[in-house]
Amino acid sequence: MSERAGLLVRAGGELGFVPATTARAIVRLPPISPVASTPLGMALVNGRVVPVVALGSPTNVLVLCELDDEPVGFSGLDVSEVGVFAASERGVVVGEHTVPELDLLGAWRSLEPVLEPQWGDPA
Amino acid sequence: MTSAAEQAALVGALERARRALEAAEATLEQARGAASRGETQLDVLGDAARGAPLRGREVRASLGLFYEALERAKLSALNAGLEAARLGDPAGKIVLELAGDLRELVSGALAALEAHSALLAEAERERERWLEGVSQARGTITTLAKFVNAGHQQRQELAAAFAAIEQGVAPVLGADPKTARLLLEVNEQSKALAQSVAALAREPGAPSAERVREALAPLLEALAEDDAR
Repeated sequence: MSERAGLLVRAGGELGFVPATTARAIVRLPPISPVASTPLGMALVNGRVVPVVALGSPTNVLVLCELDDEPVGFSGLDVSEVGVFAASERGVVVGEHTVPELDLLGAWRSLEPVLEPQWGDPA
Repeated sequence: MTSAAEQAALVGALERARRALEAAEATLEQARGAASRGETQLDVLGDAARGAPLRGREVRASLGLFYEALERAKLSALNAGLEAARLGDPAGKIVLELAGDLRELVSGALAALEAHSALLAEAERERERWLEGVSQARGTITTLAKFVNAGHQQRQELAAAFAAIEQGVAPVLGADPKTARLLLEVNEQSKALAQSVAALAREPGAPSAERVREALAPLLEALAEDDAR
C-alpha cells in the first residue's frame, strides 16, 4: 500500500488532507491586510509578501503552501495531525475514514480571474 | 419624714444604679476599643488585598510568556514533523515520531497552562468578592462605632441626670448619698453591737456586761434618737 506525507487539517469542521509536496510550513497567523475588490488578503511572512486565502473562521496559524511555484497562505485551517498516511484514491485513510485531499490549487486558481486587470473600470 | 428603712432602700437603689452606670461605661469603652481594633485589622487586610492585583498582573504576564513559548514550540514541532514526513523513511520516520512526542508534550503543557490561567482568574474573582466583604465589614464597624459613640453620649447624659438625682435626694437623706450610706452602715453595725452587748448581759455571771453597757450608753441613746427620727 502506498503512503502519502502531509497534514490533516480541519476547515469549518471538516477534516482535509494537504500533501507535504504542497504544504511548505505552518506559521503563526500574521496580520493580514485585505486587498481591495478581491476576496484575498496579503501578509508578510518571513520577509516576503504572500497572498492569503481565507478558508474558514480565523485560527491562530497560517498554512503556507506552494502553488504554481508561488507561495500562498491559507488561513482558517486548524492543523490536527502531521505524518505519513495510507494513500487512497481521493486522499488518505486515517483509521477507518477516508480524508479527502483539499483542492487548494483549484481554490487558488478560481480566484485568479478576480486578480486580472479590469479594463474599462474607472481608475 | 423618711424612715431609716426607706432611706436604706433609697441608698441601696442609688448604689445599684451607680454600679450599673459604671458597668455600662466599661462595656462601652470595651466596645469602642474592639471597634477601633477591628477597623485597624480590616485596614491591614484591605491593604494586603489591594496589593494583589499588581502581583496578579505579573503572574498573568509570565503565563503569557509561557503560552507564547509553548505555541512557538508546538509550531516548531509541527514544521519538524512536516519536514520529516517529506523526507520519508528511514530517517524521516524517527524525526516524525520525535516531533509527534514533542507536540504531545507541548499540548499537555498548554492544557495545564490554560487550567492555571483559569485558576488564576478564579482566584482574582475570589479576591474581588473578599475585598467587597471587607468593605461591607468596614461599613458595619463604622456603624457600630457610631452607635458606641452615641451610647457614650447618652451615658454622659445619664451620669449628669444621676448626679442631679443624688443632689435631689440629699435633703431627704439628710446628707449626700455616700455619707448617708456610710451612716446607715454605722447604724446597722451599732445595732448589731448593741444586740451583742445585750446578749452578753443576759449571760449569767457575766462580769463586765454592766460596765460595757454603761460605756455604750451614749451611743445607744444616739441610735434610739436616730431611730425615732
